[in-house]
Amino acid sequence: MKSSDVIVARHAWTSLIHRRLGVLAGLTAALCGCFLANLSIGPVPLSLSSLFHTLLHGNDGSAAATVVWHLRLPFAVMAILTGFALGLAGAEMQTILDNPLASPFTLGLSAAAAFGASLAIVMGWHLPFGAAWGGEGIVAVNAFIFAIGSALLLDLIARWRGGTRGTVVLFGIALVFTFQALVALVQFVASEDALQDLVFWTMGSMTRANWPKIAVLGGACLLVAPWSLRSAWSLTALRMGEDRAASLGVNVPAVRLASLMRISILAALAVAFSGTIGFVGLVAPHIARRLLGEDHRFYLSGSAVVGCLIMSCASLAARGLLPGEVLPVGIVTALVGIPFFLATVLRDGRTS
Amino acid sequence: MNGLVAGPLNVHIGRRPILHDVTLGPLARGTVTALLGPNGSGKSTLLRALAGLLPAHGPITLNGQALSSLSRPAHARLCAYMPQALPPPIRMQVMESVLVSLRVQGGSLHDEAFSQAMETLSRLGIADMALRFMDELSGGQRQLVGLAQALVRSPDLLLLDEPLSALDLRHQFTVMDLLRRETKKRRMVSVIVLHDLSMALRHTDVATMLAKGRVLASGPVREVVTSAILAQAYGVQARVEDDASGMPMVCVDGVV
Ligand SMILES: Nc1ncnc2c1ncn2[C@@H]1O[C@H](COP(=O)(O)OP(=O)(O)O)[C@@H](O)[C@H]1O
Ligand SMILES: [Mg+2]
Repeated sequence: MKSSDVIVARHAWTSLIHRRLGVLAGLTAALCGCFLANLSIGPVPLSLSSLFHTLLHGNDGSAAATVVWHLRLPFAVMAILTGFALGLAGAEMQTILDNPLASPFTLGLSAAAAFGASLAIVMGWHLPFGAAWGGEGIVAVNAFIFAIGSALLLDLIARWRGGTRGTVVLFGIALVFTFQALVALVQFVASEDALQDLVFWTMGSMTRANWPKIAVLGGACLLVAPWSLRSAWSLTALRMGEDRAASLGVNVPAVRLASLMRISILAALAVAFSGTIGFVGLVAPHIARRLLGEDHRFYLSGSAVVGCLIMSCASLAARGLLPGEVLPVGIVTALVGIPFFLATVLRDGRTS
Repeated sequence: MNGLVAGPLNVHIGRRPILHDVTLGPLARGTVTALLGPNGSGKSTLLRALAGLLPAHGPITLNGQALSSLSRPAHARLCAYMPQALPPPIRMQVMESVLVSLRVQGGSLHDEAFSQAMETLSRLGIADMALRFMDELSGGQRQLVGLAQALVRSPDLLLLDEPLSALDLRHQFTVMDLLRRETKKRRMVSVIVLHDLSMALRHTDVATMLAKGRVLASGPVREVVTSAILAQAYGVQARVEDDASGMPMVCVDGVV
């Protein structure tokens, strides 16, 4: 064993880490550009200088400031936070279920959360202390309850003896259809007013974004992201197989349960505030894995940033595709995501 | 008491009893033990129980310490286990996967870790693969990486489940040779599941033969791998002979 070999290996490792940090920085820069474009492009175009002026001086009541602070900024920030939540949730889900087709959307978490939310809307449930929220609080809580319920169910199936990858996917698809049917049922019996609300959930859109919701989702992301990164090494080990990870000292059931909690919090809040948005949680982890590898310190952060980037681009496209119309973002992500989804299915089918 | 003493162990999977009063040892430090037996005889189950991955009813002590009383991380510090399944072909560098194996328990990636990792890889003859990705390697190459992940942790107890199953002739030999030397040098207790009986005769010290979840025979490997016991365990007519160079080998003539 030559010490030069060790130095070479050490050097290669350091440059690998640097390259990954570089990729993360590049993604973040692209995200910043997209975010600014979101703020300046629209029916009332704003130059970058007047945009910065408005951002720095707060809402001074001018027309431009009102457009930025009341419309574009909340939408743009909400899009990014939703992308962050879905990207991170999808990345963790693919790891703990060991399944490249796992995401909150494909395996029914989003559908379950949407059903929970629509139930709360139609029944007119309210939290005792949530008057200021106009019922939004209970909607989010109910979405969370249904999301965690289906997440636990999926985990049970995945660990069940004889439960293979295929079983989990099929079960997830069954969950999607079940909850979609239930949402349709709720829509059928809903009143005119509630129906308006419900259509919003099923399409996925940023138009209901406001600052209190942003604070809640942003706070959740801020709490969950470090919690998630603390498990990064354990999750990386889990990628090498459950037994191998356990023999390395990882408490696999505990890591799994914590991960399911995080996934449910993120997916439920994203759905409760932005409706069902498909394919971001599926596509972002794949892109992150390609760019950054399996080291979960980079893979998890990368998937979250890629999720932000996709949502930011999609919300730009949602406003640009049809002049004068704002399409629901969910439609855009689905249109872009389905080809990617099919490509993944085909590639996975070939290798396994 | 130095070394590994286990049993009598009873292991259930679900409601099904798999191992019945299995005893192992005492296995002294520095010896290589072959765990033999036909398919489904419970070899993997016994190894998983020793690795603390399955609840076992019965005592397991290593160098005087009861393993069952240890927490998962403490257990993992003493014991390295390589599952029967090959490491999956994921987008992770060989070097990286060995470092993960060292790092999961905490601590930082210092120079020591890099030299340990590179040294283990070069002993297994795969130092040139350090920067390749696992999804670009063959099954046998990944099996060598799996071995590196276990060896690099210098455990007191080394448990390997069919470590030769995907290796070519040359690597089967070098791996067994390496395992024997490392076991002596680091005074480990190594328990290795093997299917190749000639390999067991030449490269291990003691052996335990399992059949239908019970111990059929146990002791020095030449006393365990005999015609009578092979007939009983595998249902084959076999001879144990010395070849031209005086090395023992097993010839199978037919089934009984
Ligand atoms: N997860 C499991 N669930 C139920 N039975 C199992 C499981 N794993 C192994 N067994 C049973 O335990 C017995 C021993 O299996 P195993 O230890 O894998 O055998 P070996 O490794 O010696 O080929 C077999 O009869 C097998 O059917
Ligand atoms: Mg086995």
